[in-house]
Amino acid sequence: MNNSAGAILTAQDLWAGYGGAPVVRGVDFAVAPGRLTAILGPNGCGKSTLLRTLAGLQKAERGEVTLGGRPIARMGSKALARVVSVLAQNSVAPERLTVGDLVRQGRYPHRGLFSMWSSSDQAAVDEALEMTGTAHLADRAMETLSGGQRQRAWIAMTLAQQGEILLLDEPTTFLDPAHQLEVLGLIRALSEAGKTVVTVLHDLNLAAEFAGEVVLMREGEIRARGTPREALTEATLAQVFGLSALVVTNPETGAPVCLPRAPQ
Amino acid sequence: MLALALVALSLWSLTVGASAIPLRDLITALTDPYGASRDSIVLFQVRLPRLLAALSAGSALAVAGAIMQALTGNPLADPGLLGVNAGAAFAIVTVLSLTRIPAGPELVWVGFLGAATAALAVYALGSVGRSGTTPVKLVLAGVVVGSLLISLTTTVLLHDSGTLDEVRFWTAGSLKNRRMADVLPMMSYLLVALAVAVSLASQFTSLSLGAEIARGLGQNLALWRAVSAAIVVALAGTAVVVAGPLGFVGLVVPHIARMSAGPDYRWTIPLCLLGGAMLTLLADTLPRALLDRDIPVGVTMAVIGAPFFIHLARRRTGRNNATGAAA
Repeated sequence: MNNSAGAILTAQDLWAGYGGAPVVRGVDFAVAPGRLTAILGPNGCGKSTLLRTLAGLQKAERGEVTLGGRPIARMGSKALARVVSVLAQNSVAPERLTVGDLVRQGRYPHRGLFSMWSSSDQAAVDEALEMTGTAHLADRAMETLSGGQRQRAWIAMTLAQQGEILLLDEPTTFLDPAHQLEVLGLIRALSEAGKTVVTVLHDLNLAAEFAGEVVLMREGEIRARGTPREALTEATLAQVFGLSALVVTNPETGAPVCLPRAPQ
Repeated sequence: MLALALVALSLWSLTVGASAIPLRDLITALTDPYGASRDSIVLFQVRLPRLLAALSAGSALAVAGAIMQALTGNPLADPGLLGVNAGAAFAIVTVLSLTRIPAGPELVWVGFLGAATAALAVYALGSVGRSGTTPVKLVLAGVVVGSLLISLTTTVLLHDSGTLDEVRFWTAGSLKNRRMADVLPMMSYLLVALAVAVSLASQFTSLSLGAEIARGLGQNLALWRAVSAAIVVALAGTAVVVAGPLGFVGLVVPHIARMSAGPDYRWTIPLCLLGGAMLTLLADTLPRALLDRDIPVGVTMAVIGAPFFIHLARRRTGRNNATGAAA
């Protein structure tokens, strides 16, 4: 990989929010390196805010986020972006921007003010297009793509940053089931290729199927974490989501499957 | 191509006016800057300063508009719409009225100050509230501050008939009666600001992806927003000194540039530079050529620009509604 190998992203007693009552309340969290972690929780539980604060998109109100032991608040924005790349929720590209244009933007943190486009920039872009299967779309405008293709193009942009850690905020929301699987399959492939991935997800069963580790949040706190098998139990679903559910095992993959019961 | 067209248009504009100068005489006169012929005097005292004023103001406003659109994430942003031009105009009119100094190149600093103050006021007003700065709030703030400043400018002018005569045409956006000694110093400011804008073009592309994405890519938003705002203020402030608060150039030209070459600012900025100069020159010259009348360029530009603005606004709201209902 690159020189930042082994840099671990952690949060210590992290509080964050939007000026009012804190949305993330005293979270301690170390991102598991080389794994795919899914953050789950009901709406408003602070999962996106936690991800955004880990990415440096939002300031911590208390506590801090560190990368390889260094507080990210004291890192330069480009230095951080060379290790941690983030895909915000519902990103919209400017009209007529092509996939190639977008992915080339991923080289921003590696380029000086007046530096020329280098062969290593081009190699990183080609690799990102290759890994996400978007090379054949490079000249297409973003707005002409399907939801799944568009999301893969955004992920390609974050890959061109060549960071070790990828933070994705609800990358599958608004996609139909086939496109959700397409994007999650890509994300799993990236984690298997050595990337550390943290993603906010809505769908419990997709998280159980794809993630190596799940984190369950409620009211700004982490209430359970572990492998899907450990953390997604009838007890935690009741406690975190207020959900009465039957948890069974997928006979093909061995992953837990949550079957919610309708409220009586 | 575009550059050649601009040269041709420039030559044509020099031939058109109260007294027509045929192209052959134009070339004779052009090669003889200190000549005493009538053509030569008209050319160097009247037409050439006016041509340079049109080119400078047009390219400055178009590039300023393009940068503002990247900065605010708002395709309807324009130095006129966001109150920056009105701020520069108000500051200049107030200083002229209070001090009675003759209008001169020093006024550009007053213009900068007015433009910067208005831009800060619009930004402050536009970022009040919990959601921070949104494009819509920014435009509303721009319209409010801009209208207020225009009313104040009118008030100053109405109470001061001396100033009124001097600047009446200028406040509508006019290129009439420019002197070489006024225009040339402005051009040096503009060339610096435009050179900076061209060399930083790729930063504006990243900025135009929106705050979240730009920050995620490691762009120092506070720095680049400040740099962009400073360039806009320099461009718009100078353009206002040259041509008055000329609207719509900064809206129309960047759109056409993006439609023809895509959203990469390394193309947008140079295209705006040429296109803005061309559109402004055309708007200034056409009434002289077709109607034999000297109409302030601001009026012609509004006739061209207002329908364009409505078209853009309608198209955008149309698209937003299309998600809810088939449009």
